[in-house]
Amino acid sequence: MATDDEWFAQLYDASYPRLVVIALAFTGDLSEAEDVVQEAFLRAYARRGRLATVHNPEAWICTVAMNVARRRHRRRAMADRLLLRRAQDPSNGAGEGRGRGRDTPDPDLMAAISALPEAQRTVVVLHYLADLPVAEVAVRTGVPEGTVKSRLARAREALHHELDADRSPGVADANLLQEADDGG
Amino acid sequence: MADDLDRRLARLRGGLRDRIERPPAGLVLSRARRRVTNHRAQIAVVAVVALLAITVPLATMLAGRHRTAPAAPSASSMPVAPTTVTVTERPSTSSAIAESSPAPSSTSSGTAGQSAPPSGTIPNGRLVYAADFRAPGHVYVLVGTPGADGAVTMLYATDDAGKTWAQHATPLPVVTGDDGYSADLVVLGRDRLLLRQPLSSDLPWGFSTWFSADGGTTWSSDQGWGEAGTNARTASTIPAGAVLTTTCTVAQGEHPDRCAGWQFEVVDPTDGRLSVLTTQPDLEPLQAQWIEPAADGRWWVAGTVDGVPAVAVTADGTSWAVHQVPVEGTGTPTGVSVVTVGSYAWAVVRGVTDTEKNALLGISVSRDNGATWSGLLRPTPGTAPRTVSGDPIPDRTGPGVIISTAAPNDDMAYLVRDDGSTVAAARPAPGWIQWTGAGFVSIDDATVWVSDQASASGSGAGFRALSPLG
Repeated sequence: MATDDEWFAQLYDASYPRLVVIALAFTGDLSEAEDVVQEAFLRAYARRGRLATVHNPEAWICTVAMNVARRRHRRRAMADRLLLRRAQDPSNGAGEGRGRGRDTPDPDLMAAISALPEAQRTVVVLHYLADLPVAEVAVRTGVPEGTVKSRLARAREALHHELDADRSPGVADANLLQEADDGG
Repeated sequence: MADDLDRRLARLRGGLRDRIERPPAGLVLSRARRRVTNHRAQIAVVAVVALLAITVPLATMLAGRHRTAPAAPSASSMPVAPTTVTVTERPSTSSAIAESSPAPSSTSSGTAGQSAPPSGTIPNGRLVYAADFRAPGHVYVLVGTPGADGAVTMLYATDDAGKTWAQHATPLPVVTGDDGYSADLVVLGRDRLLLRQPLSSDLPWGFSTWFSADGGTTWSSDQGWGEAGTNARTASTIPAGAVLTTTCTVAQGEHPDRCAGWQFEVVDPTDGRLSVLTTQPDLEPLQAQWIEPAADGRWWVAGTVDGVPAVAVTADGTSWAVHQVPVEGTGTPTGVSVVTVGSYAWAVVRGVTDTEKNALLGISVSRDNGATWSGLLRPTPGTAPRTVSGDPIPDRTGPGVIISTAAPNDDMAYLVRDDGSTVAAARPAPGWIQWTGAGFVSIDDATVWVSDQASASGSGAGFRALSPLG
């Protein structure tokens, strides 16, 4: 049992920050992202014996965290509807105010990322914020590497546009698009 | 050369990392242990309350009878203490097949996407929840036994059609009330068998497996079996004695708890390991649990072609013939069971409709060994049978096919004849009937019903009751 706990603690220490960053893309709020990931670890602990046999335990917990985040979002959306709140009311809900929670650094950029379509937001968060290589992003999202690269390129274009940055696509954008066109 | 966006992304990455507040691992572990402890305590409380709910009225009733001497209740009306172990509803893989509560989706021999019936309790708390055989009289059974810290699973094996049973410990994890029984069992040969345990009820892929080549005495484990897109082994043919299964090719993009597509893989009978079948049939596979060879020795798999239910058949995995088995009406197909007898093959298509979880969507028949197919039965609203439970059994005297219904507490069965006429029939066996490759098996509480016949006749389907729990 002690060995299980030690292993679990090591997994927690190594994965927690990255998972919170990933969860942030879905919750839009740092505190809630932390809460979601902690909940995922609590659930994972009850299954730590099985978890130890998984090929990629962090990906497993990430999936649980995403499920937790989605369920919470659905519950909140339902509560909002029941309370006849306007969906776009900036004072509530998961979507609005994304990236503008507790001490979020560069809130404009975070808000721009949060406004991306989910497919693009996912790859941006996994690659640029969680620092995962494109190949691993492809595995985690279940799409080919070329698709990941093209989504990244389009997301960068959208971010440039949203942030009113230099409209000429950067070198990175051009490279990504070229690689995507080449099949990844 | 990094542009401004890259610099901002890098700063954001660093800034987020700095701002994340990570509670110490010890604190999280402490909370996690407390939650597990509390959960067990809740289970104990529920068990005590359930016991009181049963014993108090019973005591009152007995006291009342002592005074007024009413008729004794029948055995069937006597309440049974529930066990604290429940059966988890899972999306795809459970083979729990005893009776009573809702139901994971499962598939059996040569079939796909069938919602298995509910599991429940047995009077002494032990639960038979899986059974399989590949040789007459040589049956393996998984039995869950609740204890203070959860339920352990034992393997029961008989070599003499149930006269004597040997018990073996299994490496399956202790089951808590949070999990339920979700392991399944497939027999790959006389003494070779495989246990499979899903890693998570949240994911459609990923299992722990344990293989035994000595009838369950010793086990070897394989990690991460069937994880999405991770299997590099391939097989160009299906070896004798193998079974097929479906695995998730990749998780579905932004929804990794769903599967984007399935593929057929071979379970090697010599070591229980998976290999991707090199030549896949030209259809969109439906998820299947175990696909055993049919009575004609071929492997029939299920899927869709352009959204229409279809079956594909192969003798050895090197080539496939695909046939559509169309159905009318609404409903999403989840599986097709194919059974064969003589030159006849029957395809029973089931699915999900607005009102039925195990709806019968249609039956097709082939009279030329599966070369051509024609629709035979198209259920109409209000007309039985509307549901289907487990695998059908071909009737060689009809010829026809016997299907059991899936309605709760419903022991109906129907014989569908070659001309499409349908008559009520005796249910071949209670419980969820599954083709094993060597016959049929069904579980009813503590009793395992086994038939080593591949088809029924006027005298029935030849089921015998085995009682591993005495």
